[in-house]
Amino acid sequence: MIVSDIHAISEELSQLPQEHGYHGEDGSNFKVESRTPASNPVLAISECLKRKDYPIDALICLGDFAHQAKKLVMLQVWRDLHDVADALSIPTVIGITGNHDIATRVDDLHTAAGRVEFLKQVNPKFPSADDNFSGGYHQHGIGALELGECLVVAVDTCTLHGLGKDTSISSDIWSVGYLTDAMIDRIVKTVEESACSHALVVMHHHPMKVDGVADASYDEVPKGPLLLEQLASSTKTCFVVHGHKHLVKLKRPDAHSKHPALLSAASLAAYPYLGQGSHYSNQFHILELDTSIKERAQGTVLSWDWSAARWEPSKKYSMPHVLKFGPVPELSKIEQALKDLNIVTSINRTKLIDAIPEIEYLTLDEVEELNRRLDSTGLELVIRQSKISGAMMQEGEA
Amino acid sequence: MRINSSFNARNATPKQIAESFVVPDYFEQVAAFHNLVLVGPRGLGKTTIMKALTASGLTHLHKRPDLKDTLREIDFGYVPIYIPAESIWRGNAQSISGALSEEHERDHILNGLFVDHCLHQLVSSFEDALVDAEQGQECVQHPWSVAVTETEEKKICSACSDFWGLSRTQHSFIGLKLALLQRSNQYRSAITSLPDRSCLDLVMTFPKYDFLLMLKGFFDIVGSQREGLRWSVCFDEMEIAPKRVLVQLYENLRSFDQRAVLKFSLFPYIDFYSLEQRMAASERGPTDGQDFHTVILANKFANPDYSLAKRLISNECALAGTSLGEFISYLNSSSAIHKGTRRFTDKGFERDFAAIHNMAAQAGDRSYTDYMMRHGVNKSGELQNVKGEKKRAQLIRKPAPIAEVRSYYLVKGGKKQEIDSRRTSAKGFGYYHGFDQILALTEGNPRAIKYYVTDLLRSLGRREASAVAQNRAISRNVDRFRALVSAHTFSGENVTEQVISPLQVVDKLGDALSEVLLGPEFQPEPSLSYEVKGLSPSLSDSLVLAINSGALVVDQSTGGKQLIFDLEGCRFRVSHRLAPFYKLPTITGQPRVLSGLPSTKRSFKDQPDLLSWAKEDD
Repeated sequence: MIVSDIHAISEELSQLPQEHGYHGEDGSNFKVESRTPASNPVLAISECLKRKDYPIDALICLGDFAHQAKKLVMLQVWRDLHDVADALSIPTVIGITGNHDIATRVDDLHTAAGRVEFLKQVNPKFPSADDNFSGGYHQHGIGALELGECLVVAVDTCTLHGLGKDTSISSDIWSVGYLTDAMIDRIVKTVEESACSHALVVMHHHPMKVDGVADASYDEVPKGPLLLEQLASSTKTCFVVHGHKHLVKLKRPDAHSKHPALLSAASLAAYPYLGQGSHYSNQFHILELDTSIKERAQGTVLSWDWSAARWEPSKKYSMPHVLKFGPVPELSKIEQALKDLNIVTSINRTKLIDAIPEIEYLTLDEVEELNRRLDSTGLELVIRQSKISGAMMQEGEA
Repeated sequence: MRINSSFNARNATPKQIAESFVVPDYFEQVAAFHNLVLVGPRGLGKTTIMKALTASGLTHLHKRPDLKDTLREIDFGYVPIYIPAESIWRGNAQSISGALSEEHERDHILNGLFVDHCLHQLVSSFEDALVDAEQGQECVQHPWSVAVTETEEKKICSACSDFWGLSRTQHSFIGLKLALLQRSNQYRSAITSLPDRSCLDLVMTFPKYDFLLMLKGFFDIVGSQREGLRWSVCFDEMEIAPKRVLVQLYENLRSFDQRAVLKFSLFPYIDFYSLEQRMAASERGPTDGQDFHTVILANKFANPDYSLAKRLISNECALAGTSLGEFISYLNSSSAIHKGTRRFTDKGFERDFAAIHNMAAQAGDRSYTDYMMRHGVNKSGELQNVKGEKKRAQLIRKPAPIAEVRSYYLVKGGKKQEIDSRRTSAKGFGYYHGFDQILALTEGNPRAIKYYVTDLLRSLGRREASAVAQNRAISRNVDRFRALVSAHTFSGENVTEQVISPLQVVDKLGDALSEVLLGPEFQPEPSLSYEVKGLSPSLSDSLVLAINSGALVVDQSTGGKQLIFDLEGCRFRVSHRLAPFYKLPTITGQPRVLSGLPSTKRSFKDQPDLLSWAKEDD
């Protein structure tokens, strides 16, 4: 299970006078003092999934637990995530550091000293109860543990945050994530040396722009593309997940891609940044990796959307409830296969997927493209609530 | 204890409804192939019964072995079409009226949205009844199912696309539905994109369709592929449909189409006509019993039948893992019921007149004891010597229930005060405690039953004191109903006028009865209902709203008309659902004439607010 960028705030702290500099209201409307599932999106996760039968190996939080690095708030959320894991019988909880989890605007020696130390002392242990994992994470910024056939590699991209000789330089550092060549080498080495066939690399910051249009900033991790290239040329099947941008998107590797599959996870509760539209939504995900397939990352991303007081299966175009990834479908082949079905009226989803299984792997953008191509024939793939519900025939456009 | 707390059938699927459906006595009448009007305010189970009568509802009902015998008797040889109202119609109508000043544009868009919504539901219902003809013998054929081949579907959908004016010819039912949705969105865009008129200009070029004509056309088109089909078209929640639609439906009850019947629900008072139209419709409109049948679902003025209510409660108890018997005992064990005044039997409760007499004397109801003494009864023990039907009516049957309710609300005046007794605060509702009294407070309304039973089963599960639980449930549910009544408001064009709200009218009527009932002068037969005579026109609209909200219950057994076109001569009482608010008994009584608003000692300004009335002292 992937949760990210929770940005919980404190109602109590929000009542402090302005000069204290706490702007919780800018972060989210998730007040950590709210203890009912209808008002607490973390606690609501167990409500949502308690009757579902999803065996989950690990709960991974990609950082930014609390808005403006408030320690008590972060601690409460961290504990709540463990409660969710207990309720859903999830054996492992992993957290990674986000830019809101450590003091990034350091003014004095005391704050500088406590910047990371706090995270080393919290209970339950951060980033994980596994000592080897936590040791590697705190020492080198890389922690790894095996979950069956999949190696989880957690990367701390906030190691340099809080440094800088003045406010401007400090800001240049904390506004982006950071990876050193040594860290990249260590990640690749850890992946290669592992007995696991698959690797899931989790990090807070984004190794490349999330979307050419929706992501207008140039704040990706400077050496992010290098990491992705090296993982793509690894002998293992890799999947990278990050948070930070509050934009949700799954990037499938195309047939000749240099990059592994890449999921930009949605924020769990944060407000959108100014101008964020199509790819913003408050979601949590379950990532299913099919470790029996080794030639490419294959599996499903399941997503739930926050709907005022509870989680509901997502109907969002940018990240629907079920998004499959794996084989890269060839549109022209599917187009021909659809024509060959000789549909007279309509067929439902089950029959359609039985006849053309690749259809399951189409993105909604690709469905739109296919429908454009098929328009003159009258054939149309029908989308309902961001899901292909079947195909139908109508009079062809002249 | 598991409590099922779904209060509204709107979001339930026909399958869910069919699985727990309690078949009412009038089910056969509602299911039969004739035009039908279901009469009653909200919460009476209209949606429940209409969804049970959809194709998938019927399929699931027929899977229940316990209903086999009941259903075998009924002819389901028709295709059920279910058309629910869209809850945003009212909002739509208001926003469209606000956005467009030209009446013909307003009408065109409202009509377009209504027609396309209904056609969409028509296609969905037809699909629900379809079985795949190419599967042959493999699938079960019910009397309501229709087998259609792919070729036939294509022909039907192509013809419908043409007849309904869709921009592109569709070959499938799903295509028809999508095209109708697309056109609905165009109508909506015409409003949302204003002041840019391009969308509006486009939709104004669409032909204006009449839904019932489109419906007939659909029967013709399907009939060209499948002969001899009959259709039952159920319109649900039409109370929120535009009045124009109600008028059209009502008038079509007389001669819509030989192949089809129309079924819909109406509030008891016909408020979709103007006064003149009402008079004309009453004379020349469709005739009850001849052109259509009416089923009054509940809210009977007198002699209510609670058998369905009891079965519903029994079901809820079973779902919660308890029994009806245990639930009844729990309610009847309330310590707030005056000791010894009621004997509980399988058929309900009987009053112990001697115990009531003693309680009245204890409460210092001197006026009552004087009345009894004047008629020769000095002590409770002497009541058993009263002989003869007339005498027993005069001294026992009529005064005892009145003395009973007074004994709960009067206390002795005390030595220093010069009065014998005074009205006391409503610290509890002991008079209304007990299974049969709670049943009366629901008026047999399934949603009210659900509210009460859900609350009280929870209390039973927690082993809470019965009296505490009932006091809380009563005040909570009276509040709920008052909130519902207050939500029945005037339509947009009337709100600027100085009007009295329906809740204010009901409060005045209830208080007026209560002041006499609990007044210093005991009356063995106080007025407990009203009869309208020469009603002040200023009161008429509020009274109609109060009737249609269910706060006032009209005697529909007299005069032969199940629908009310004129208030003159109507007899009505205040709903028992509000009885605890005014401290009125759950029995019916003599009428008093109503021409204008009765005067009461209490004024609206003294009214406690909605949520604290149960704690207020008189």
